[in-house]
Amino acid sequence: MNTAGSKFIKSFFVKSFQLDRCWRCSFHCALFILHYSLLFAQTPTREQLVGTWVGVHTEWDLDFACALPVYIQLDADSTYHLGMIDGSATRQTSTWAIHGESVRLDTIHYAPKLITLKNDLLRIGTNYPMVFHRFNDISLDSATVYHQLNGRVWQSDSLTLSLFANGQASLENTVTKQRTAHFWQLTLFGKSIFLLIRGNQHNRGSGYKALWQISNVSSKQMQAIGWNGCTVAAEPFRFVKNLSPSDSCRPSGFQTCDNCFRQIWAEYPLTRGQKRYDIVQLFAKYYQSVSQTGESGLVRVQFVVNCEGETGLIDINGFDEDYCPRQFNARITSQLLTICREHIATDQSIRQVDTASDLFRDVSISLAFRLKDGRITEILP
Amino acid sequence: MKRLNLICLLLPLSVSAQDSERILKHCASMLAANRSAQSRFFFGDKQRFRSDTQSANAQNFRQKAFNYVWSKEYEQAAVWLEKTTAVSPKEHGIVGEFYLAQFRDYPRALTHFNAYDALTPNFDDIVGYNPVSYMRGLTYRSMGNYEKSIEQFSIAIDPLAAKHGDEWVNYRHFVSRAVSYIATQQPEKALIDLEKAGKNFKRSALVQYHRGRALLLLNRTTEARTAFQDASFFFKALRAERTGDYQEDDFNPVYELEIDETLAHLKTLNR
Repeated sequence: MNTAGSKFIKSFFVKSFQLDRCWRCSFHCALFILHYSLLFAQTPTREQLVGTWVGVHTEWDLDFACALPVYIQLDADSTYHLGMIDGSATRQTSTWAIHGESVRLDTIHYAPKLITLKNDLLRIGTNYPMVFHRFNDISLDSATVYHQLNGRVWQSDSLTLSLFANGQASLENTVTKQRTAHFWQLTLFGKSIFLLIRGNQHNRGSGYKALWQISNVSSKQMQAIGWNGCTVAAEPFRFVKNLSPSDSCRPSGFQTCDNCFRQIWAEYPLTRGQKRYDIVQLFAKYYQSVSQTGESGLVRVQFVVNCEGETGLIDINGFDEDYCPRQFNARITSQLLTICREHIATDQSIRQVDTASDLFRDVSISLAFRLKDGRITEILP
Repeated sequence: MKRLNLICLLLPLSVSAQDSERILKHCASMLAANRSAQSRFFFGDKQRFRSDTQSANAQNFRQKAFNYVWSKEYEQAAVWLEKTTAVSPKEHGIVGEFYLAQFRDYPRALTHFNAYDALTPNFDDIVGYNPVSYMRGLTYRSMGNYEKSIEQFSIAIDPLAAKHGDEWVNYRHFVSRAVSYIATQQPEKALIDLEKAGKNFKRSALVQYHRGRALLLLNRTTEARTAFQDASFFFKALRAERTGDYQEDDFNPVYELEIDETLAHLKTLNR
């Protein structure tokens, strides 16, 4: 399920971009307000819907959204288009209509109130809402924009954006200093210029990280319209410095290859089915029991191995026999971690998309051990 | 030169064209998936299952617990499992099964199975598809108390077999009791149960594997090897019918590698 889910969802996340000043305190509040407002939402009128809607993100959960690199165009003559903002795929063309309180896009009939409009934000659905904002075409000269942005560092209140001349880009949270590496690209949409951040530290694949419409740019400042972690806004970025040839584009720490990565979707089922035998044998072979009365309960070890085989996001937690958090003897936890690092994280097959391909993906590993007085009695499924 | 760079940046990359088509299709699928307020299709979602706006009933509590188990948040999972039974004592059965299968917490599982069974005295209540006595038998067996497990398995098996015949007994129940018989060095009794199990599912690798183990205890090595070979054959022959990572019975897991290793060991003994 989690694997199928992750395949299904290769749309795109704004993880580091989300970390601005509003994010931590306001995202939940904003979602609550949006959800609350849905109680009173009315289906928008045809006149309100006509226009072009640029993807913001898909809200997969309360605290998890991925960038949405598509647009919807609803013409007054009932023509409907769904396409990629960067024009990288053939757009789909059909018709749309409103019947009473129900909206039809192509062949999809939406139940009443499942399409709502508020402050130029179009929300489609309630399960995994897809959010779009109204597109206003702003004519800019692409050569000028490229010239101003290329090889420079730009900073908003929440984000430092470095656009390298070789096409690489880094996004750094100004508070946490967490930095991720990607690639950047300008694309024409209408007469407008969009700045696309996509790919990872290794290549341009693995989806989109962020999409901004450039509304104006000068040598000292640029303004980008898009999701700022709190709302869709015209976010001002000020010029910081020119990048020198010696500056390199590297993440500050571990980075997943996929920009829409969520651990629970990417979990590799090591403890189920036939694979369980190997994992039980592995710990039986390498774990040396630490005979100590009271070292009983559960130890949960979680980590992520990215598509390149790098390990990160390591998390180890203990629970006593009543499931209250507790710490276990370090000789136990460090052993478990070492076995995971040396014998599981190094196993290339867990990252393989399928046995017949050389494609690799990020995987999440989660193991839970039941211990009795320092001895492993069970590995939980 | 700069112009060339610009063109390169503006052009969609041909290498990603296939990805883009896939992304667009997925977005179209998501638009369709959002056509109604249907059930969410991911487990572990906070939005639906962790919201405090849900009504306080056993089903919602159990769903919350299930989602915490799914994401291995054991502290919260246990809290909500206990709340579930507090709201509805009938949930003791399924909660017991959670503690047995997911938490491997046998004392707690037993407590809940006992509480469930106590709801209707003189009746062997059903948990899912199994009588609670069978679930208790599995729990005792996991705790290493084989005598008590045999006693409980027999409560589940014998009255049903006496009333309707052995063919009405789930073959896995016979296997479970046989495993306990093997653990207590009673291979003859195990073989009788496995014989009955084999009649109810003739292509079972699980049954043949444990037959092999019982026969080994009786030093009937040649027959044991045939049983292990049959187990290996059934495992491999049925692979095409199976989807995903198959186990005949999660409570009695059998692994292909384990069967093959046993066979290899037997060959070594015969040299």
